[in-house]
Amino acid sequence: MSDGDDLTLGAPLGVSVLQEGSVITIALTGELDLTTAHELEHAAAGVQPGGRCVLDLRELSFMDSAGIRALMRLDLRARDEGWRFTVVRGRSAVRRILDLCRVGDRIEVVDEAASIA
Amino acid sequence: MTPRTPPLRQSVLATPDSIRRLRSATVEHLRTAGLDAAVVELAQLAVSEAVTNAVLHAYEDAPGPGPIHLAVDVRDATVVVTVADEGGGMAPRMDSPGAGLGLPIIANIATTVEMAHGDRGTRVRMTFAASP
Repeated sequence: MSDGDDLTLGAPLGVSVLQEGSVITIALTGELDLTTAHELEHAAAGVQPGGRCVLDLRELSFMDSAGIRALMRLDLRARDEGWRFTVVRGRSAVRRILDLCRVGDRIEVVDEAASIA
Repeated sequence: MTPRTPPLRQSVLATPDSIRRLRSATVEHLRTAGLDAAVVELAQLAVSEAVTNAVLHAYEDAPGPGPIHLAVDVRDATVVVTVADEGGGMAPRMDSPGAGLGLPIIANIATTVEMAHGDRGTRVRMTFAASP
């Protein structure tokens, strides 16, 4: 099968982690699914009680329900361990599934990193 | 949209990497057919969910993964996507992983969904309007 000329087509997950004090920002690129969701949870392993995790999805091109389940597991961890979890939503494909699964009812979801208070 | 887009047919083993492969094949096929990006995104998500279900459940009791068959047809104003396996199906299981989000998502984004299960496996047939 050809992957085509579009380099974003079928791109694997890219994970970058930035730690500033007690805040860990995780920025994702590519596609979040069953095969890559564990990478997100691994990236968030270092968040400490009283700290914060900002998950930046603005450059993520695709996410399915396996990604939603990973977000829900992180939310449970945040509640159990006492840290704040914020999701920055991004492109239309990602916005759609976040809205469809009403993730914003349970997790803090913002449109822009600049709007994080 | 190209009026006569050749159908896409792919069969792969139900391994985890088949999820991304079949999803990518669907996107590439529908983009080549000139479909609206919003429709391509809906089909991309639906294929990902249906293939994930097959990878997780179809061959749970088999010694190894069996095949998953993907068919994508663009017919006038409709995109028809079928994901089929030859496994034991999606019977309720106490040890099943996940929150059961896949099928509700498909039901929400597709125009129609038909699911058939028999001795020869499970088939999920989904349609989408070619124009959003």
